[in-house]
Amino acid sequence: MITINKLNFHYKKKKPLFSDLQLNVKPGNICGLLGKNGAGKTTLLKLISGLAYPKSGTLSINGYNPEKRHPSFLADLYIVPEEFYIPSMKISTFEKIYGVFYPKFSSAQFDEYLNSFELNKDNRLNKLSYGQKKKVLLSFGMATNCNLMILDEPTNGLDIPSKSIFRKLLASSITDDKCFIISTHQVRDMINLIDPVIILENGKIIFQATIEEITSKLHFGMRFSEAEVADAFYAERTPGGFLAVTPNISGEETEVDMEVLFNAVISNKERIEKLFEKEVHHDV
Amino acid sequence: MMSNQIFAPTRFFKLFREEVFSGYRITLIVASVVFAFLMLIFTIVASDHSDADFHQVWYPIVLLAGGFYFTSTSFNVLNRKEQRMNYLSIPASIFEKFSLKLLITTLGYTVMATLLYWLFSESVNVITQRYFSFSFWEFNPFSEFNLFFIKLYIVIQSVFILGAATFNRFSFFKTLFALVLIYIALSLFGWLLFRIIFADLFDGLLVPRDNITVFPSYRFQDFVEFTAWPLLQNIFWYVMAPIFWVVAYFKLKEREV
Repeated sequence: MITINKLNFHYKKKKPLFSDLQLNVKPGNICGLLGKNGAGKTTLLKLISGLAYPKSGTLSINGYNPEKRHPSFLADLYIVPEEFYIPSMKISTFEKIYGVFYPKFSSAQFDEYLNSFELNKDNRLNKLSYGQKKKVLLSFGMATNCNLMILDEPTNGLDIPSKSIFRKLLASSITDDKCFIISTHQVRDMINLIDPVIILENGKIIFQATIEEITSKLHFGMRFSEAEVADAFYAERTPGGFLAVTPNISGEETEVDMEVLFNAVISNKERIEKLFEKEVHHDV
Repeated sequence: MMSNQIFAPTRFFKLFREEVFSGYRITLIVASVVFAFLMLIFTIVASDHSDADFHQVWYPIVLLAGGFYFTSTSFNVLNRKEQRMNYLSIPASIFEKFSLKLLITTLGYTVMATLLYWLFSESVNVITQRYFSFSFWEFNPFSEFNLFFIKLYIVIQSVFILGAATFNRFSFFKTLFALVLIYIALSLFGWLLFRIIFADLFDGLLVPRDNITVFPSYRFQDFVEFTAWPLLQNIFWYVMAPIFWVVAYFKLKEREV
C-alpha cells in the first residue's frame, strides 16, 4: 500500500526534516500517526498524497508515484486536512460536483453518514459551523471508498457525540484493501481504533508497532507506590497513585493508553526501541 | 492507460463542471459591475453626443484589460494553502487542469466578453436613443479592427497565464511589473548590442556620428526589412503564446502545498 524508501525532504536546505526515511504500511489498517508539533506528520501526509515533492528517495502508494499526481492515484485517495477549504454550495451540489471524480463513490453511504451526523443535504456548506463542515468532509471521504484515506486531526472541532459516531463509522468503513492514516494529537478519541501506531519525532520514525505487539511487550496500569514505578518506562501521578507503563513481564494483556504510550516513547526512546528492536523493521 | 492519465474527455468535462459551479457567482458579479460601469460611461457620452464610435475605445479595453486581469486570477485557488490542497487533490491531471483554465481564459473569455459586449451595445442604444436621441455606431464583433484585438488578446494573455501560474497573490500586478522589468532589460540589451555591432557609427559612448545613414548597407536593410522583422512578427503572433503556455503548464506542475 505505502512504501517509502530513503526519503529526504527539507523546507530549508540547512534544516532537513526527513533523512532516509523508511516506511511500509499494509492495507487493512487504521494507522495512527502521532508526534509532537513540528515532528513532520503533516508534511509526511502531504508527501504521501503528492501535495509536496520529496527532495530524493522514492514513494510508492498503491503502485503509484504520488509526485506524478496521476488522476487514477488521486481518485483512490481522499485527504481531509486539519485546515480545509470547502466551497460555498449546498451539500447535495457538493456531492454532485465532486462525487463523480471518485469511481467508488456511494451516494447511499454518503446519505447514511450524513444522517448519522444529523446533517441535511439541503444545508448550504457556508452556513455550517467548522465542526459540521468537517463532518461533511469526513462523510464524503468515507463515501468515496478510496483505498487510501488520510485524516489530519479528524476529531478537531467535533462535538462529543460526533466523535463517537465518527469512530463507529470509521471502524465500519475499513476493509482489507483500504488503509486509513490518521494524524492526531487527540489520541483518546482514537482509542480501540488505531492499529498500528507510528510515532514521529524530528522527522524520524522512533516507534512503530501493532497493538498486539504493544500489549505483549508493555503493561499499562495503576501503580500505588513510587517503588513500583521505579522500573517504569513512564509514569504519571493520578489521584489514586501512578498510571504507569512497565515491561509486560506477566504476559497479561492490558488496554493501551495511547497518551501514556506516546509519553513513554518520547521520554524513553532507547529503552523502548531496545524492547521493540525485533519489531522495529519499519514494516507495519 | 498512460494517455488516460493525461487527458480524458469525461474527466475534463467533470472538471469544467466543477469550475463553473465554483466560479460562476464571482464571474456574474464582476460581469454585472463592468456592465453597469460601461452603461454609466456610455450614458454620459451619449448625453453630450460626443463620440458615436465609442466602441472602438471600450471594446479593446474590456477585452484586453478585463481579460488580462481575469487570466491573472486563473490560479487564485493556489494562493491559499487550504484551497491549493483542494485544487491539487482533485482527481484530474495537471494537463487537464491547465488546459481547462487556458480554454476558459482564451476562447471562453473572448466569446463571453464579446457576446456580452454586443448585448451591452444593443441595450445601451435603446436607452440612449430614448433619452438622448443618440445612437452609438453598431458594434460589429467580426470587424477587422475587433478581430485584430481578439488575436492580440490571445497572444498576450499567455504572459498573464504564466504570471498566474508563477506568482502567489496579486499576480496581475506582479506580471505587469515583471513585464516592465523585462522591457527595460531587453531595451538595454538591444541598445548594447546595437552599440557593439555599429561601433563605427558612434563618436564616444553615446553620440552618433554626423552624416551617417541608419543602415550601413542595403543588404542589411533588406535583411532587417524582409527577414528579421517578419520573423519577429511571426514569433510574436505564432510562437510566443505556445511557449508561454508550455512554461505555465510546467510552473503549475511544480506547485506544492
